[in-house]
Amino acid sequence: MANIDFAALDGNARVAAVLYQSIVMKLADTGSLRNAPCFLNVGSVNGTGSDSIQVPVVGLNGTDIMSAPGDGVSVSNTSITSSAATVVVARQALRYDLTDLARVSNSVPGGVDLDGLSNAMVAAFNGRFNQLACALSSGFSTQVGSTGVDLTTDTFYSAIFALQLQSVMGEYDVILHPQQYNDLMSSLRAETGPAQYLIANQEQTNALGASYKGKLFGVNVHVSSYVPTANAGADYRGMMLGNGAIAYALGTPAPIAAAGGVIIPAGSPVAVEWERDAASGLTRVVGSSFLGVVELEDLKGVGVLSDL
Amino acid sequence: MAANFGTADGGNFAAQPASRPQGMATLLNLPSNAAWWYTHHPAHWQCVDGEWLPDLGQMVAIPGLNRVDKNGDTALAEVHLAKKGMTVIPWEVEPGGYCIQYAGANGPVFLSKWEKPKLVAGQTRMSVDHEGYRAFCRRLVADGIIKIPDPDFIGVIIERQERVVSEHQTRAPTHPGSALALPVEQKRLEDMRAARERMYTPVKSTKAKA
Repeated sequence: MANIDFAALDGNARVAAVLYQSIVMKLADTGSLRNAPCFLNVGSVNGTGSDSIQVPVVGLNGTDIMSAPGDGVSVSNTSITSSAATVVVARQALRYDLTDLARVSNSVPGGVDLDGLSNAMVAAFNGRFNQLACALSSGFSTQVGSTGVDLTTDTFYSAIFALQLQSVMGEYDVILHPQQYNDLMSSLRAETGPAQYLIANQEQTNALGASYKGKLFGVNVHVSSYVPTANAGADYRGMMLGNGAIAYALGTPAPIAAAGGVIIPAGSPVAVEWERDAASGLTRVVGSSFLGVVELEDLKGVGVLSDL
Repeated sequence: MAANFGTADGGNFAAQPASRPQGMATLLNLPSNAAWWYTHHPAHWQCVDGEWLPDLGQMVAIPGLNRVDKNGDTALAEVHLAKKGMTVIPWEVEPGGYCIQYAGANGPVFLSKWEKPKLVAGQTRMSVDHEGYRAFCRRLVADGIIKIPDPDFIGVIIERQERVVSEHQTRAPTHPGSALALPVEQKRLEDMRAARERMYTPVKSTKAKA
């Protein structure tokens, strides 16, 4: 009599593989830059009558200083210095269509099912915010670094000095590509003298997102793979920013009945809705947000260029 | 057999190379972006191999980004850039355009003409035609699309490099890292100065005077 081995059962009483009862997330940049103080949230366009928010930048805090007109001489009239930045909000969205067969055959709760796809929308929104914010780096008038040269502590200091020259107050944030961050770490290994690099602790990561790496020379260091290339792909261009250098505005189609019957109030950055197409046996998971990102004050930012 | 109009042209059927089915198309595994244009700020210059070339930025037409409206209209963004003294460089200055669209896994991907993506061992790698891009930058200046920089702007970049050299000079006697970096940074400074001289020295005409 033949043994009952695996081959005898394979395909009938045994299967080639079974699904692990959990899912492993594919590697992705899940960092969120939005909570860094260099980004100023100027609110929501909901109920404002416009898709844009104009942010006045007015010189009321020492921009104009007094002069000495002389005894009995009338002091001349001074016009106030002002400008404005307009944040134009536009729809950002992501859609997944899940067939009923794919849905009912799901064996991993929270995996590729309606809940899992809905939850993915938050990371998708954060990634989009990062992409838009990082795309602003080449617009700043001040740029430091050289093409084809790795990021060094010297360049990092050049960016700090450039902001200090413009009297940019408060803490600075720098947003670097992972390659730039690696090069900076390499450069730091050769540094001597007083310097301090404070690695991010759990509370800071919770507050500022997984992209926050710590504080170097008093500058908050953030890393994002959305930092764009420059010089036709030869370099990366990150940026160092003062508080409120970049403004962003949001909007929510409110109030709506969203995924799981949840009502999304105005001001929520992301709304996730489920849409049934019974005829096709499909459920659409649609994540929507309204987002606008704009450079608020040119001199509060410095582009940081370095080699790939 | 009676002739009919269908055979009158001798059966010259239109032919075209076969294309892969949609589901088998090779898609670029890079984040989707939007059409973009090169921009240039009068202060953005860089010294590359002993030559001052414009350091170009990008205006990306993503709705919601820096005044680009909900439909991708860049009109307001262009006004803002113009107020800052920036030049938006038209696609047409490069034959065939410099912004190239690829079909990506997550939507269209727009790259420059000088970036060539390739798939190597499952990874998306990019080969860059550095010399082609530099030639494009040179042409922008030669054709007057980008003006030769004001000497002040070049002066600021050179002063920044002078500071770097000065710091390394101070530290070099006691710091091996600075001692190694010093000749490199000094050479870069000399290249910058020499390139500045060449850029602002008027080329003497070789034509005989009438």
